[in-house]
Amino acid sequence: MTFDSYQVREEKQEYLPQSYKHSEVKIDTGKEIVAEELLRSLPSQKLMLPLWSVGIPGKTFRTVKPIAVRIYFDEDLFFAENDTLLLYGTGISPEEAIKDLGGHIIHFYEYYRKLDRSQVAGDAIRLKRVYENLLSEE
Amino acid sequence: MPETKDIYSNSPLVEIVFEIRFPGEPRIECSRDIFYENIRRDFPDVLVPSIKAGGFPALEPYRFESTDKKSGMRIAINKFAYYVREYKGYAQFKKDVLKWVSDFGQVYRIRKLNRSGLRYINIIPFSRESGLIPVNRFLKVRMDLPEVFPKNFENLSLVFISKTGGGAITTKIESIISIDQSHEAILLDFDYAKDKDLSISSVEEYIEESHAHTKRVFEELITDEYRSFLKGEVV
Repeated sequence: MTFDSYQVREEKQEYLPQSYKHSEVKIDTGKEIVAEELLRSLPSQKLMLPLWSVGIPGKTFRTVKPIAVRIYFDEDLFFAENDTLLLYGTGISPEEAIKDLGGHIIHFYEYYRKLDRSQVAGDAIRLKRVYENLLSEE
Repeated sequence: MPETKDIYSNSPLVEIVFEIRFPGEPRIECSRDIFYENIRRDFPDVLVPSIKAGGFPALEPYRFESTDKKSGMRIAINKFAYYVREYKGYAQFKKDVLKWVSDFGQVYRIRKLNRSGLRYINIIPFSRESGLIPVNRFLKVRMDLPEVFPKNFENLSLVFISKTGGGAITTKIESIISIDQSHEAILLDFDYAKDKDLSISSVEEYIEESHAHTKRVFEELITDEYRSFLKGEVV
């Protein structure tokens, strides 16, 4: 569906009545550069995107700080991963992978909030601290 | 205007280019090796242009690139461009531009310029929300359209040229998809150009003006929530 919308845009931009020509509104400096090629060759750090809200049916949370998500494609699935929370979601599109990740984030947010500090050890201490200030209900 | 640092830790900047154009100088074609000797140590990789049918070979730039591909030059009979893909801040970029432009101008005795251009290419990865591009989370893009138009976009392509005091800035805001279709992003592309009575001896003035205006436009265009992501205020 997404790719189709780019093809439609390309077709619409190409169409022009024969008696007209396109105006020259274009980027002229370094005109040899192809943005899509730059996007393909970006290192993973540059492909990080912010997540400002997460939701499950009936509940939506706003993130207190943006959650940095790395998207990648492997073995026919998209992955959405956050290194701080040590979580990832999967899906057949980036949007679905993020939705899946959001579900996991909400699960662990509620899980860690219910736990008493005396019940956590090791890295769970850090995670409990992170989750406590992670979301606010909309 | 919001307070800003020179470089954001999550900066979307992927390439910055400064380019000068001048009346065609055949010496550049005939003695390409002379300038190459000056830059061989920093930019040893030579990339020859491919020419499309009906194209003009002399106008297609040769590329001289560093081995790590993080910076380089594009040189043709009527233009010289210096580009960087790992931006270390404006001060460093300007210093490099002035050095290379000066060297180039001396070797080929370039004085008069037809055009100067400073281009900042930003790529902002995003994920769709309910199938739509969440452009307003990143950029303050408002179109004053009648109510009948939904304010959310499935696809986006805007290019406009704005006149400034000393030149013109072309702004392109467009959704793009990687060739393998694995990532989508908003392309935020700025090209600040000057094109009247220019001289190579005033390049510093041109780059200063171009940078100052473009930086102001960028800072005014991004939303506060996106700015906090750029600053690295993230989980």
